[in-house]
Amino acid sequence: MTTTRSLRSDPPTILPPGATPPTEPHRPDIGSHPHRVLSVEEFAARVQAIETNLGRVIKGKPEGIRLLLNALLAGGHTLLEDVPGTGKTTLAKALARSIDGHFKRIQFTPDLLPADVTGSSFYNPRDGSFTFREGPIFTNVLLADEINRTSPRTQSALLEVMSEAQVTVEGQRRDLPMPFFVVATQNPSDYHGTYPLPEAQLDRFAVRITLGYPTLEDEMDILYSQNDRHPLEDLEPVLTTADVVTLMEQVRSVRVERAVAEYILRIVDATRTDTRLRVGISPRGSLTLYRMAQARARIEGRDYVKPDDIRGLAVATLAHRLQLDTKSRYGGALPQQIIEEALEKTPVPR
Amino acid sequence: MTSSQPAASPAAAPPDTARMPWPVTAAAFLAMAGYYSVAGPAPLLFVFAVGVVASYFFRGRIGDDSVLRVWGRFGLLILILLFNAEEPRYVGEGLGNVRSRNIFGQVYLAEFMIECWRSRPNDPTRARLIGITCAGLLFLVSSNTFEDRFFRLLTPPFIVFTALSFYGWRDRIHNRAADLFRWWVLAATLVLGVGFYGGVVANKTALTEWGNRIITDRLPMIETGMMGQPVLGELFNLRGSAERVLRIENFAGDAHLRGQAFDTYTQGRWSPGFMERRFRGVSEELTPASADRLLNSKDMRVTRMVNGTANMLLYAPLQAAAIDRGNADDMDWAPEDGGPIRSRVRAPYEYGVTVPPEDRYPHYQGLLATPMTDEYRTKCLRLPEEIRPRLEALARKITAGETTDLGKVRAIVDYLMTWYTYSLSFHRDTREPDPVMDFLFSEPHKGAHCEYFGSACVLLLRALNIPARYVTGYYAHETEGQYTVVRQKDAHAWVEAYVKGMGWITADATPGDGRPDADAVGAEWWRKLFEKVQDAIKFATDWIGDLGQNNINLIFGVLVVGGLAYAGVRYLRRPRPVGPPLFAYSSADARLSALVARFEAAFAKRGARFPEHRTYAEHLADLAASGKQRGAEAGGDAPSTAVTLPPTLIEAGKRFIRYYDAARFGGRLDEDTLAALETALREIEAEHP
Repeated sequence: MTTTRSLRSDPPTILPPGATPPTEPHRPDIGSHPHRVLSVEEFAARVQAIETNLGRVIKGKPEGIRLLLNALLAGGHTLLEDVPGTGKTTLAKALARSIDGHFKRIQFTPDLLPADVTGSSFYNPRDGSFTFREGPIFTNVLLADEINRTSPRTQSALLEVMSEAQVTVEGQRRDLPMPFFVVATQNPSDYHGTYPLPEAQLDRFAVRITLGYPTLEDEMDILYSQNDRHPLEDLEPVLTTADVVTLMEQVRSVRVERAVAEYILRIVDATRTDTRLRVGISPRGSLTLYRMAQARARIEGRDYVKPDDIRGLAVATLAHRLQLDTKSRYGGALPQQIIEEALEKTPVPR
Repeated sequence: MTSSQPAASPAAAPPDTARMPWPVTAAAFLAMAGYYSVAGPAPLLFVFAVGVVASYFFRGRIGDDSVLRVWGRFGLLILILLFNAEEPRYVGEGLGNVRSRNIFGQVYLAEFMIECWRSRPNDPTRARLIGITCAGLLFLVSSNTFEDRFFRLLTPPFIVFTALSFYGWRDRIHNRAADLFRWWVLAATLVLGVGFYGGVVANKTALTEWGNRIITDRLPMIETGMMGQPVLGELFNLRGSAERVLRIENFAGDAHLRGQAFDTYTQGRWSPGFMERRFRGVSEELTPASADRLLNSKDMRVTRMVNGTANMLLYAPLQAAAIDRGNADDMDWAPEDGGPIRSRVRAPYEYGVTVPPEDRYPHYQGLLATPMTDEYRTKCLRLPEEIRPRLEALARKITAGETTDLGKVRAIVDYLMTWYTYSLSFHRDTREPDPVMDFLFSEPHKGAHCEYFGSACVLLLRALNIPARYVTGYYAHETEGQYTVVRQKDAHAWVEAYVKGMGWITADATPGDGRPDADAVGAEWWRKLFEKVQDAIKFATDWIGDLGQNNINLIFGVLVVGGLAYAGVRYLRRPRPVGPPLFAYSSADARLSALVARFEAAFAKRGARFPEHRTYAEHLADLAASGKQRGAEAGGDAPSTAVTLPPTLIEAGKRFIRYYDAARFGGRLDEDTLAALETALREIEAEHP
């Protein structure tokens, strides 16, 4: 499914604060009007529906789920960094199912080739033609499992795909279905036989999420909920992919006051002047933060971005883009800390 | 709202490798240099300097919960006390007690070094405070005491570095209106401290006496017995602890190591006192050329391990032919008064004594054998007239049949040894004014200690017209490996008699069971351990001393310069503060700015300020959380929000901010919103008491 992307020029009608919102249906109106302008409340309700759905499968991690949806709606991709067995794959599958989309998974191994990812042409002896067989990236939700286990050559096959949502194979450009959402995972504790992700690729992930272990109560819940069957199998779609595209479009109409944009730039500038860093935040990073903040405002039922949004997203969105210099890395400095320090040093707009 | 706050403090370093900020390092090294110029090459100073510098190069840090911190501090303290167990060389120079000042300075330097090695949870201010406090106090004490060109040079940069260290405090102090409590505590501590100091100063004498009574180890004993004038009392006041006084290598000669001799007796008191002696400087007399002609003489090396008082004696056997003064340049002696030699050099002080072989030179008349002049003979024969008749009668009875002086001496010593018993205490009969007569003539004979035996022997000899004098010193008997060790409890008193044709001889009338070796139980294990450490330190000090003053100066200079250079490098490579912002934030509508100024003022009146780098909503949430926490348990502290506000106020504040954000960032700046903002603001201002 392809959809033309259009940036709305006129802002949507906005309700003054305190005004009574229009009556809201209990269940969101799934996919009935793909291009209808949604009210802030309608938008938030749809996101809420996915969140509830995912929450049935991934217990006790509402922040992780929300960040994932935030990245999806901002049109970015997600890097899940966690030890094995914390629900990375389940989360990606559940998301695909919730938005009624296709889910594919690539298990990255050292001998994986770019063509295995993108697809390749096969000779058809019957009519003497070449037929393109789509690779696993032609999907809505792509789980790139253990992405750091494959060679940089194969990793770079994902570059174009991730930033442009299109793939060029044998000189022919092919669009990917929309939405196209990559959930890549990597295991932070095991570095044997891995190829650390190139900076260029790291920069293409909107957020890095760490789920971490669930609390013991939640884990008990997980044990019993999977007694008969996996809750994933019972998961019903709450939105269609067309709905998601609509939501993604609506994100762009969120208002970002000039002072808030200036706040983003100040934070980014602080990282560029930090002597502990080899590479600061790229303009792509500030753009992502901008878009993520818009999505977050929408998710929280607002049509404008507050400085709080920037502060809430800065670490998840920016930290993985930083390259520490050797001395600081071995000195024990953490990228998260540097972003936090930049936040502590930068006055907020008021 | 525009702002251009340059980040004053360098970014907090990660906890595990936190280093002292560079101004602290520089100030500490300057203070160390000042201290060095005062105290000289104290070995510990090198330890601390190296320790501080090393903390910059090694990553390991001591955590707050580490036992290493406690034991390390304990060990350093022990080390400092050991190194300062001796009296400093020049007493009376400068203000106050040199030793306590040294200990003070070294304890603070040790604290500074420990602080360098501690992990700090992202809070360099504590380290800064401690570092600068110690450096400053040290500098103050030293510079108050000494007028020196070093200080004139070092003081200005020191002040600059101190000021730089405090620079980082600036914005903290601005934000701490709510933290008044801490300032109160600080002020109260200062007041209490001043009061305590005043109390100590006012009662200094009483406190010193009290302290002396607790430390019975050596002070009273040395003052009265060894150093001052011996007074025959009920208790033996020479008997002391097992503290090691002398360590002797190549022990030779008589076991009686004499300190000083006394010639005048009046009713149980021997004189002259130490201060009455006619001391004069020593040139070459102590190493006479005649000593070189003695064959097979032995050189024993004596090391004095303690400093009891400022005037320290050198102990040597009577036969000593020469004394090598070691590193003492201020030695003097009183040869006419029985030859006590003293030197103020602080322990461990090593000197040499040349002793001729006894078989070849029996009764060798060395340095300490006072030339027998008529004047001195008169002194050594003087007896109080009231006791002379009884003494003469007794002495003649004892020495009946003896014709030679030597035989008479032997007879008297035998008599005292045979018929009198030894006892540490003596029961004085006050009807007899003279204690020695009490000892000699009471029936049955009373037990007494060596002072009585010695005194009685001298008086009996004098009654026989044999010149004699009373000698105090140590009786050496304990060997430990290659060394002979003399302890405080080996203190002893005996007699030197002048025998015609032989000269001065040593005579000890104390019965065998009263000699110090009779109860040679040895020292306790901990004392031996202490002595081992003492010896090791002496070894280290000797080694450093061998480097030569210039080399030491050079090493220390390199350390100081290196420390300063490193601080400079740290300064140049410090984390760059965020420069002035490229642009000011686009300002809000004037009406909104006015409203938010009122909002901030209303909260400021309640003691809550909004930090520049956090949003209003965040800070209000924190205030609410800290309020709840305080409600739940008293004393819980949430960071940077030390005030508790009523929940209704916080709710009103949150409402205001919701409208404000919508207006400021959502572009919703209409009359309705302004009215809603005004309403919420009224509510907040009404909450204010």
